[in-house]
Amino acid sequence: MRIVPVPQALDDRSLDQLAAGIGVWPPTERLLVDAHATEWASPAGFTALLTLGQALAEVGVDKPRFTLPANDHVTSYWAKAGLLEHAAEYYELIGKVPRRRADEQSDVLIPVTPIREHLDVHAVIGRINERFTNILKDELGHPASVVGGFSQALSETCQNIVEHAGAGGWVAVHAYSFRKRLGRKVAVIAVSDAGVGFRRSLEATQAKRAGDRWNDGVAIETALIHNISRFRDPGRGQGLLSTKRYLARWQGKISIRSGTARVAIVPPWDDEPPRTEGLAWFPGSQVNVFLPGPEAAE
Amino acid sequence: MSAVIRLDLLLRETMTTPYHDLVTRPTGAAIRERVIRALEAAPGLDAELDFSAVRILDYSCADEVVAKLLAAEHLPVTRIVLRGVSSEHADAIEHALNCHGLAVVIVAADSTLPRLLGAVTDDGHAVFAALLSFGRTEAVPVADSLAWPAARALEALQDLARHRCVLAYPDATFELGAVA
Repeated sequence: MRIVPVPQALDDRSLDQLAAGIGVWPPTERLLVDAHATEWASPAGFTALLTLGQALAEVGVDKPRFTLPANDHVTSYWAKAGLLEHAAEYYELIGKVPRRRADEQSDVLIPVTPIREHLDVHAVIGRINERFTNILKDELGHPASVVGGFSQALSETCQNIVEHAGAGGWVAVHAYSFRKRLGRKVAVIAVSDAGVGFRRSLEATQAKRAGDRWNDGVAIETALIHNISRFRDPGRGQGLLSTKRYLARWQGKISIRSGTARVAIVPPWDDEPPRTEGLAWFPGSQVNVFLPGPEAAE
Repeated sequence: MSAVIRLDLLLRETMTTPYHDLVTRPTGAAIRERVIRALEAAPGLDAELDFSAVRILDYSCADEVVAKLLAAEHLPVTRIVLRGVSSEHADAIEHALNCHGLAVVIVAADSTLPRLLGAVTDDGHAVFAALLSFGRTEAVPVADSLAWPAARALEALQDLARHRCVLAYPDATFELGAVA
Protein backbone atom coordinates (compact mmCIF):
# COMPACT_ATOMS: atom_id res chain seq x y z
CA MET A 1 0.00 0.00 0.00
CA ARG A 2 1.45 3.36 -1.07
CA ILE A 3 0.24 6.40 0.85
CA VAL A 4 -0.41 9.51 -1.23
CA PRO A 5 -0.75 12.48 1.13
CA VAL A 6 -3.30 15.13 0.20
CA PRO A 7 -2.03 18.61 1.15
CA GLN A 8 -3.74 20.47 3.98
CA ALA A 9 -5.10 22.87 1.39
CA LEU A 10 -5.53 21.27 -2.03
CA ASP A 11 -5.76 23.65 -4.95
CA ASP A 12 -4.39 24.09 -8.47
CA ARG A 13 -0.86 24.73 -7.17
CA SER A 14 -0.64 22.24 -4.29
CA LEU A 15 -1.89 19.58 -6.71
CA ASP A 16 1.83 19.26 -7.52
CA GLN A 17 2.39 17.80 -4.02
CA LEU A 18 -0.42 15.31 -4.52
CA ALA A 19 1.08 14.30 -7.88
CA ALA A 20 4.52 13.85 -6.31
CA GLY A 21 3.08 11.29 -3.91
CA ILE A 22 1.76 9.02 -6.64
CA GLY A 23 5.14 7.60 -7.66
CA VAL A 24 5.43 5.39 -10.74
CA TRP A 25 2.59 5.20 -13.21
CA PRO A 26 0.73 2.94 -13.36
CA PRO A 27 1.19 2.26 -9.66
CA THR A 28 2.69 -1.09 -8.75
CA GLU A 29 0.94 -1.19 -5.41
CA ARG A 30 -2.47 -0.16 -4.16
CA LEU A 31 -2.77 3.53 -3.35
CA LEU A 32 -4.16 5.12 -0.21
CA VAL A 33 -5.02 8.73 -0.93
CA ASP A 34 -4.85 10.25 2.52
CA ALA A 35 -6.88 13.41 3.12
CA HIS A 36 -7.33 12.96 6.87
CA ALA A 37 -5.44 16.18 7.63
CA THR A 38 -6.88 18.16 4.73
CA GLU A 39 -8.77 21.26 5.81
CA TRP A 40 -9.77 22.73 2.49
CA ALA A 41 -9.93 21.96 -1.21
CA SER A 42 -10.69 24.20 -4.14
CA PRO A 43 -12.74 23.06 -7.14
CA ALA A 44 -9.39 22.32 -8.82
CA GLY A 45 -8.64 19.96 -5.94
CA PHE A 46 -12.00 18.21 -6.20
CA THR A 47 -11.80 17.67 -9.94
CA ALA A 48 -8.18 16.50 -9.71
CA LEU A 49 -9.00 13.92 -7.03
CA LEU A 50 -11.71 12.48 -9.26
CA THR A 51 -9.39 12.54 -12.26
CA LEU A 52 -6.83 10.54 -10.29
CA GLY A 53 -9.48 7.98 -9.28
CA GLN A 54 -10.75 7.78 -12.86
CA ALA A 55 -7.23 7.35 -14.28
CA LEU A 56 -6.47 4.58 -11.77
CA ALA A 57 -9.68 2.78 -12.76
CA GLU A 58 -8.78 3.09 -16.44
CA VAL A 59 -5.35 1.48 -15.97
CA GLY A 60 -7.04 -1.34 -14.10
CA VAL A 61 -5.18 -1.27 -10.80
CA ASP A 62 -6.82 -2.18 -7.47
CA LYS A 63 -9.44 0.34 -6.39
CA PRO A 64 -7.57 2.90 -4.33
CA ARG A 65 -8.57 3.79 -0.77
CA PHE A 66 -9.40 7.35 0.23
CA THR A 67 -9.20 8.57 3.80
CA LEU A 68 -11.73 11.32 4.35
CA PRO A 69 -10.83 14.48 6.24
CA ALA A 70 -10.97 14.10 10.03
CA ASN A 71 -12.79 17.41 10.30
CA ASP A 72 -16.55 16.77 9.90
CA HIS A 73 -17.13 20.28 8.59
CA VAL A 74 -14.69 19.59 5.78
CA THR A 75 -16.29 16.27 4.78
CA SER A 76 -19.71 17.89 4.98
CA TYR A 77 -18.55 20.62 2.60
CA TRP A 78 -16.99 18.04 0.28
CA ALA A 79 -20.31 16.22 0.17
CA LYS A 80 -22.12 19.47 -0.54
CA ALA A 81 -19.68 20.26 -3.33
CA GLY A 82 -20.51 16.94 -4.98
CA LEU A 83 -17.11 15.31 -4.52
CA LEU A 84 -18.06 12.39 -2.34
CA GLU A 85 -20.92 10.97 -4.40
CA HIS A 86 -18.56 10.67 -7.39
CA ALA A 87 -15.51 9.67 -5.34
CA ALA A 88 -17.39 6.60 -4.08
CA GLU A 89 -17.32 5.29 -7.64
CA TYR A 90 -13.52 5.36 -7.84
CA TYR A 91 -12.30 5.04 -4.26
CA GLU A 92 -12.99 2.89 -1.26
CA LEU A 93 -13.91 5.66 1.15
CA ILE A 94 -12.56 5.41 4.68
CA GLY A 95 -14.24 7.50 7.34
CA LYS A 96 -17.67 8.88 8.06
CA VAL A 97 -19.42 9.75 4.82
CA PRO A 98 -21.99 12.51 5.40
CA ARG A 99 -25.50 11.84 4.18
CA ARG A 100 -25.97 15.22 2.63
CA ARG A 101 -26.14 15.37 -1.13
CA ALA A 102 -24.59 17.90 -3.44
CA ASP A 103 -26.41 21.19 -3.55
CA GLU A 104 -25.87 24.65 -4.84
CA GLN A 105 -25.71 26.84 -1.77
CA SER A 106 -23.28 29.56 -0.69
CA ASP A 107 -20.07 29.47 -2.71
CA VAL A 108 -20.78 26.31 -4.69
CA LEU A 109 -21.97 27.68 -7.98
CA ILE A 110 -21.84 24.35 -9.79
CA PRO A 111 -21.05 21.17 -7.82
CA VAL A 112 -18.61 18.67 -9.25
CA THR A 113 -20.24 17.46 -12.46
CA PRO A 114 -19.09 14.82 -14.93
CA ILE A 115 -18.44 15.86 -18.53
CA ARG A 116 -18.50 12.95 -20.95
CA GLU A 117 -20.36 14.29 -23.97
CA HIS A 118 -21.67 17.52 -25.43
CA LEU A 119 -25.04 17.17 -23.72
CA ASP A 120 -23.22 17.36 -20.38
CA VAL A 121 -21.90 20.78 -21.43
CA HIS A 122 -25.49 21.85 -22.12
CA ALA A 123 -26.46 20.59 -18.67
CA VAL A 124 -23.70 22.60 -16.99
CA ILE A 125 -24.55 25.79 -18.88
CA GLY A 126 -28.21 25.16 -18.07
CA ARG A 127 -27.34 25.47 -14.38
CA ILE A 128 -26.37 29.11 -14.82
CA ASN A 129 -29.41 30.66 -13.21
CA GLU A 130 -30.49 33.79 -11.41
CA ARG A 131 -28.76 32.74 -8.20
CA PHE A 132 -25.52 32.17 -10.08
CA THR A 133 -25.82 35.59 -11.69
CA ASN A 134 -26.53 37.22 -8.34
CA ILE A 135 -23.38 35.76 -6.79
CA LEU A 136 -21.25 37.17 -9.59
CA LYS A 137 -23.03 40.51 -9.20
CA ASP A 138 -23.45 40.84 -5.44
CA GLU A 139 -20.46 38.93 -4.05
CA LEU A 140 -17.90 39.69 -6.73
CA GLY A 141 -19.28 43.08 -7.70
CA HIS A 142 -19.55 42.41 -11.42
CA PRO A 143 -22.17 43.86 -13.75
CA ALA A 144 -24.77 41.34 -14.95
CA SER A 145 -23.15 41.46 -18.39
CA VAL A 146 -20.16 39.51 -17.03
CA VAL A 147 -22.26 36.35 -16.88
CA GLY A 148 -22.46 35.86 -20.64
CA GLY A 149 -18.68 35.80 -21.03
CA PHE A 150 -18.27 33.61 -17.96
CA SER A 151 -20.77 31.14 -19.42
CA GLN A 152 -18.90 31.14 -22.72
CA ALA A 153 -15.61 30.46 -20.91
CA LEU A 154 -17.25 27.65 -18.96
CA SER A 155 -18.67 26.12 -22.11
CA GLU A 156 -15.41 26.29 -24.04
CA THR A 157 -13.29 24.81 -21.23
CA CYS A 158 -15.78 21.96 -20.77
CA GLN A 159 -15.87 21.31 -24.51
CA ASN A 160 -12.10 20.83 -24.54
CA ILE A 161 -12.68 17.61 -22.61
CA VAL A 162 -15.11 16.24 -25.16
CA GLU A 163 -13.18 17.46 -28.20
CA HIS A 164 -9.62 16.63 -27.20
CA ALA A 165 -9.24 14.45 -24.12
CA GLY A 166 -10.50 11.13 -25.42
CA ALA A 167 -11.85 10.43 -21.93
CA GLY A 168 -14.40 11.90 -19.59
CA GLY A 169 -13.69 14.64 -17.12
CA TRP A 170 -15.07 16.88 -14.42
CA VAL A 171 -16.05 20.47 -13.89
CA ALA A 172 -16.79 22.48 -10.76
CA VAL A 173 -17.42 26.20 -10.29
CA HIS A 174 -17.10 27.98 -6.96
CA ALA A 175 -16.74 31.53 -5.74
CA TYR A 176 -14.44 31.89 -2.76
CA SER A 177 -12.06 34.32 -1.14
CA PHE A 178 -8.50 34.48 -2.44
CA ARG A 179 -7.21 35.86 0.81
CA LYS A 180 -3.52 35.15 0.27
CA ARG A 181 -3.18 35.99 -3.37
CA LEU A 182 -5.74 38.73 -3.85
CA GLY A 183 -7.71 39.52 -0.70
CA ARG A 184 -10.92 39.33 -2.70
CA LYS A 185 -13.49 36.84 -3.88
CA VAL A 186 -12.88 35.05 -7.13
CA ALA A 187 -15.11 32.84 -9.26
CA VAL A 188 -13.20 29.76 -10.32
CA ILE A 189 -13.92 27.27 -13.08
CA ALA A 190 -12.01 24.02 -12.60
CA VAL A 191 -12.00 21.48 -15.39
CA SER A 192 -10.00 18.27 -15.24
CA ASP A 193 -9.92 15.15 -17.38
CA ALA A 194 -8.09 11.85 -17.38
CA GLY A 195 -7.49 11.95 -21.12
CA VAL A 196 -4.47 11.96 -23.39
CA GLY A 197 -3.15 15.37 -22.30
CA PHE A 198 -2.08 18.32 -24.45
CA ARG A 199 1.18 16.73 -25.58
CA ARG A 200 -0.39 13.62 -27.08
CA SER A 201 -3.38 15.53 -28.43
CA LEU A 202 -1.14 17.84 -30.46
CA GLU A 203 1.74 15.44 -31.18
CA ALA A 204 0.68 14.37 -34.67
CA THR A 205 0.43 17.91 -36.02
CA GLN A 206 2.88 19.91 -33.91
CA ALA A 207 5.73 17.72 -32.60
CA LYS A 208 7.79 17.82 -35.79
CA ARG A 209 7.74 21.61 -35.81
CA ALA A 210 9.10 21.78 -32.25
CA GLY A 211 11.65 19.00 -32.77
CA ASP A 212 13.70 18.20 -29.68
CA ARG A 213 11.93 20.96 -27.75
CA TRP A 214 8.61 19.09 -27.86
CA ASN A 215 7.37 18.44 -24.34
CA ASP A 216 4.33 19.05 -22.13
CA GLY A 217 5.12 22.74 -21.61
CA VAL A 218 5.57 23.44 -25.32
CA ALA A 219 2.37 21.53 -26.09
CA ILE A 220 0.34 23.59 -23.61
CA GLU A 221 1.87 26.82 -24.93
CA THR A 222 1.02 25.76 -28.49
CA ALA A 223 -2.64 25.57 -27.53
CA LEU A 224 -2.91 28.32 -24.92
CA ILE A 225 -0.51 30.97 -26.23
CA HIS A 226 -0.55 30.26 -29.98
CA ASN A 227 -4.21 29.12 -30.21
CA ILE A 228 -3.34 26.03 -32.23
CA SER A 229 -5.62 23.02 -32.22
CA ARG A 230 -5.11 19.53 -33.61
CA PHE A 231 -7.90 20.39 -36.05
CA ARG A 232 -6.94 22.24 -39.25
CA ASP A 233 -10.21 24.12 -39.71
CA PRO A 234 -9.55 27.91 -39.38
CA GLY A 235 -12.30 28.23 -36.79
CA ARG A 236 -10.77 25.64 -34.47
CA GLY A 237 -8.40 26.32 -31.57
CA GLN A 238 -10.19 29.58 -30.88
CA GLY A 239 -12.25 28.57 -27.86
CA LEU A 240 -9.34 29.15 -25.50
CA LEU A 241 -8.59 32.43 -27.29
CA SER A 242 -12.13 33.67 -26.68
CA THR A 243 -11.73 32.71 -23.02
CA LYS A 244 -8.38 34.53 -22.82
CA ARG A 245 -9.88 37.68 -24.34
CA TYR A 246 -12.70 37.64 -21.82
CA LEU A 247 -10.30 37.14 -18.90
CA ALA A 248 -8.02 39.91 -20.13
CA ARG A 249 -10.97 42.29 -19.84
CA TRP A 250 -11.38 41.46 -16.14
CA GLN A 251 -7.77 40.77 -15.12
CA GLY A 252 -8.64 37.10 -14.90
CA LYS A 253 -6.27 34.20 -15.03
CA ILE A 254 -6.12 30.89 -16.86
CA SER A 255 -3.72 28.10 -16.03
CA ILE A 256 -3.33 24.72 -17.66
CA ARG A 257 -1.49 21.76 -16.19
CA SER A 258 -0.89 18.70 -18.30
CA GLY A 259 1.60 15.91 -17.72
CA THR A 260 4.66 17.47 -16.09
CA ALA A 261 4.11 21.15 -16.91
CA ARG A 262 1.84 24.07 -16.16
CA VAL A 263 1.44 27.20 -18.27
CA ALA A 264 -0.49 30.21 -17.06
CA ILE A 265 -1.49 33.62 -18.33
CA VAL A 266 -0.82 35.53 -15.16
CA PRO A 267 -2.48 38.82 -14.18
CA PRO A 268 -0.63 41.36 -12.00
CA TRP A 269 -2.33 40.15 -8.80
CA ASP A 270 -0.81 36.66 -9.02
CA ASP A 271 2.76 35.43 -8.66
CA GLU A 272 2.65 32.15 -10.55
CA PRO A 273 5.44 31.71 -13.13
CA PRO A 274 4.08 31.72 -16.68
CA ARG A 275 5.57 28.29 -17.33
CA THR A 276 6.60 25.61 -14.83
CA GLU A 277 8.23 22.41 -16.00
CA GLY A 278 9.57 19.30 -14.33
CA LEU A 279 6.50 18.83 -12.17
CA ALA A 280 5.49 15.41 -10.94
CA TRP A 281 3.37 13.74 -13.63
CA PHE A 282 -0.40 13.82 -13.20
CA PRO A 283 -2.95 12.21 -15.52
CA GLY A 284 -4.77 14.14 -18.25
CA SER A 285 -5.20 17.90 -18.21
CA GLN A 286 -6.37 20.45 -15.68
CA VAL A 287 -7.68 23.83 -16.79
CA ASN A 288 -8.44 26.52 -14.21
CA VAL A 289 -10.07 29.85 -14.93
CA PHE A 290 -10.11 32.60 -12.29
CA LEU A 291 -12.42 35.60 -12.53
CA PRO A 292 -11.74 38.18 -9.80
CA GLY A 293 -14.10 40.94 -8.84
CA PRO A 294 -13.54 44.14 -10.82
CA GLU A 295 -11.84 45.98 -7.93
CA ALA A 296 -8.81 43.79 -8.51
CA ALA A 297 -8.38 45.48 -11.82
CA GLU A 298 -8.27 48.96 -10.33
CA MET B 1 -37.52 39.32 -46.74
CA SER B 2 -37.64 35.59 -47.45
CA ALA B 3 -37.44 34.07 -44.02
CA VAL B 4 -37.23 34.95 -40.34
CA ILE B 5 -35.72 32.07 -38.42
CA ARG B 6 -36.05 32.11 -34.64
CA LEU B 7 -33.01 30.26 -33.40
CA ASP B 8 -34.54 29.56 -29.99
CA LEU B 9 -37.40 27.66 -31.65
CA LEU B 10 -35.01 25.82 -33.95
CA LEU B 11 -32.96 24.86 -30.90
CA ARG B 12 -36.03 23.48 -29.14
CA GLU B 13 -36.92 21.42 -32.21
CA THR B 14 -33.35 20.17 -32.58
CA MET B 15 -32.48 19.29 -28.99
CA THR B 16 -34.20 16.35 -27.36
CA THR B 17 -33.21 17.70 -23.95
CA PRO B 18 -34.53 20.60 -21.86
CA TYR B 19 -31.36 22.65 -22.47
CA HIS B 20 -31.80 25.71 -24.62
CA ASP B 21 -28.49 27.51 -24.95
CA LEU B 22 -26.56 27.75 -28.19
CA VAL B 23 -23.42 25.98 -26.99
CA THR B 24 -21.10 23.26 -28.37
CA ARG B 25 -20.06 22.47 -31.92
CA PRO B 26 -22.38 19.52 -32.54
CA THR B 27 -25.36 21.64 -31.50
CA GLY B 28 -24.18 24.44 -33.76
CA ALA B 29 -23.68 22.11 -36.71
CA ALA B 30 -27.17 20.64 -36.24
CA ILE B 31 -28.71 24.11 -36.06
CA ARG B 32 -26.82 25.22 -39.17
CA GLU B 33 -28.20 22.26 -41.14
CA ARG B 34 -31.72 23.14 -40.03
CA VAL B 35 -31.20 26.79 -40.97
CA ILE B 36 -30.06 25.75 -44.45
CA ARG B 37 -33.15 23.55 -44.86
CA ALA B 38 -35.37 26.44 -43.76
CA LEU B 39 -33.67 28.77 -46.24
CA GLU B 40 -34.10 26.26 -49.06
CA ALA B 41 -37.82 26.25 -48.29
CA ALA B 42 -37.98 30.06 -48.57
CA PRO B 43 -35.37 31.34 -51.04
CA GLY B 44 -35.08 35.08 -51.63
CA LEU B 45 -33.10 38.22 -51.03
CA ASP B 46 -32.77 38.46 -47.27
CA ALA B 47 -33.07 35.99 -44.43
CA GLU B 48 -32.99 36.90 -40.78
CA LEU B 49 -31.61 34.79 -37.97
CA ASP B 50 -33.30 35.96 -34.78
CA PHE B 51 -31.18 35.64 -31.64
CA SER B 52 -33.60 37.59 -29.41
CA ALA B 53 -34.54 34.64 -27.21
CA VAL B 54 -31.13 32.96 -27.20
CA ARG B 55 -29.63 33.20 -23.72
CA ILE B 56 -26.04 32.02 -24.14
CA LEU B 57 -24.06 31.66 -27.35
CA ASP B 58 -20.51 30.36 -27.12
CA TYR B 59 -17.71 30.80 -29.64
CA SER B 60 -17.88 27.22 -30.95
CA CYS B 61 -21.58 27.48 -31.68
CA ALA B 62 -21.14 30.94 -33.27
CA ASP B 63 -18.48 29.43 -35.51
CA GLU B 64 -20.81 26.61 -36.59
CA VAL B 65 -24.08 28.53 -36.85
CA VAL B 66 -22.94 31.88 -38.23
CA ALA B 67 -19.43 31.66 -39.73
CA LYS B 68 -19.83 28.29 -41.44
CA LEU B 69 -23.31 29.24 -42.64
CA LEU B 70 -21.99 32.43 -44.25
CA ALA B 71 -19.11 30.47 -45.77
CA ALA B 72 -21.45 27.86 -47.25
CA GLU B 73 -21.68 27.79 -51.04
CA HIS B 74 -24.95 27.99 -52.94
CA LEU B 75 -27.05 29.51 -50.18
CA PRO B 76 -30.55 30.15 -51.55
CA VAL B 77 -30.59 33.70 -50.17
CA THR B 78 -28.59 36.75 -51.16
CA ARG B 79 -27.95 37.93 -47.64
CA ILE B 80 -28.25 36.76 -44.06
CA VAL B 81 -28.93 39.33 -41.35
CA LEU B 82 -28.67 38.66 -37.62
CA ARG B 83 -31.26 40.26 -35.37
CA GLY B 84 -31.66 40.51 -31.59
CA VAL B 85 -27.93 40.15 -31.02
CA SER B 86 -26.76 40.94 -27.47
CA SER B 87 -23.28 42.31 -26.78
CA GLU B 88 -22.21 38.86 -25.47
CA HIS B 89 -23.55 37.19 -28.61
CA ALA B 90 -21.74 39.80 -30.71
CA ASP B 91 -18.41 39.04 -29.02
CA ALA B 92 -18.65 35.35 -29.89
CA ILE B 93 -19.95 35.98 -33.42
CA GLU B 94 -17.33 38.61 -34.23
CA HIS B 95 -14.51 36.37 -33.06
CA ALA B 96 -15.80 33.55 -35.25
CA LEU B 97 -16.23 35.81 -38.29
CA ASN B 98 -12.73 37.26 -37.92
CA CYS B 99 -11.24 33.75 -37.92
CA HIS B 100 -12.77 33.13 -41.35
CA GLY B 101 -12.41 36.65 -42.77
CA LEU B 102 -16.19 37.04 -42.96
CA ALA B 103 -18.64 39.81 -42.16
CA VAL B 104 -22.35 40.09 -41.49
CA VAL B 105 -25.04 42.71 -40.95
CA ILE B 106 -26.58 42.65 -37.48
CA VAL B 107 -29.30 44.55 -35.71
CA ALA B 108 -28.40 44.54 -32.04
CA ALA B 109 -30.95 43.70 -29.36
CA ASP B 110 -30.81 47.26 -28.01
CA SER B 111 -30.94 49.06 -31.36
CA THR B 112 -32.99 49.45 -34.52
CA LEU B 113 -30.05 50.46 -36.69
CA PRO B 114 -28.10 47.85 -38.63
CA ARG B 115 -24.34 47.58 -38.22
CA LEU B 116 -21.52 45.40 -39.42
CA LEU B 117 -19.75 42.71 -37.50
CA GLY B 118 -16.59 40.83 -38.44
CA ALA B 119 -13.80 41.36 -40.93
CA VAL B 120 -14.75 44.79 -42.25
CA THR B 121 -12.36 47.59 -43.16
CA ASP B 122 -12.75 51.14 -41.84
CA ASP B 123 -13.83 52.14 -45.35
CA GLY B 124 -16.44 49.41 -45.29
CA HIS B 125 -17.89 50.71 -42.02
CA ALA B 126 -17.88 54.25 -43.42
CA VAL B 127 -19.76 53.45 -46.64
CA PHE B 128 -22.21 51.23 -44.76
CA ALA B 129 -23.02 54.10 -42.41
CA ALA B 130 -23.34 56.45 -45.36
CA LEU B 131 -25.73 54.07 -47.14
CA LEU B 132 -28.12 54.39 -44.20
CA SER B 133 -29.03 57.87 -45.42
CA PHE B 134 -29.42 56.80 -49.05
CA GLY B 135 -31.83 54.46 -50.72
CA ARG B 136 -30.59 52.55 -53.69
CA THR B 137 -27.64 54.52 -54.99
CA GLU B 138 -24.54 54.52 -57.12
CA ALA B 139 -21.13 54.90 -55.52
CA VAL B 140 -20.70 58.60 -56.43
CA PRO B 141 -23.22 60.09 -53.96
CA VAL B 142 -21.74 57.92 -51.21
CA ALA B 143 -18.25 59.10 -52.15
CA ASP B 144 -19.41 62.72 -52.17
CA SER B 145 -20.97 62.37 -48.72
CA LEU B 146 -17.64 61.09 -47.39
CA ALA B 147 -15.50 63.50 -49.43
CA TRP B 148 -13.78 60.52 -51.06
CA PRO B 149 -12.82 59.77 -54.64
CA ALA B 150 -15.56 57.73 -56.30
CA ALA B 151 -13.21 54.79 -56.84
CA ARG B 152 -12.57 54.45 -53.12
CA ALA B 153 -16.27 54.33 -52.28
CA LEU B 154 -16.95 51.92 -55.14
CA GLU B 155 -14.21 49.58 -53.95
CA ALA B 156 -15.55 49.62 -50.39
CA LEU B 157 -19.14 49.01 -51.57
CA GLN B 158 -18.05 46.16 -53.82
CA ASP B 159 -16.13 44.64 -50.94
CA LEU B 160 -19.26 44.78 -48.76
CA ALA B 161 -21.27 43.25 -51.61
CA ARG B 162 -18.73 40.39 -51.82
CA HIS B 163 -19.29 39.86 -48.12
CA ARG B 164 -23.05 39.90 -48.86
CA CYS B 165 -23.54 42.78 -46.44
CA VAL B 166 -25.10 45.14 -49.00
CA LEU B 167 -27.23 44.36 -52.03
CA ALA B 168 -25.50 45.05 -55.35
CA TYR B 169 -27.30 45.36 -58.68
CA PRO B 170 -26.14 44.96 -62.31
CA ASP B 171 -26.59 48.71 -62.90
CA ALA B 172 -23.77 49.42 -60.38
CA THR B 173 -26.14 50.56 -57.63
CA PHE B 174 -26.11 49.41 -54.03
CA GLU B 175 -28.55 49.43 -51.14
CA LEU B 176 -28.97 48.21 -47.59
CA GLY B 177 -32.36 46.77 -48.44
CA ALA B 178 -34.84 45.66 -45.82
CA VAL B 179 -32.52 46.27 -42.86
CA ALA B 180 -32.29 50.02 -43.48
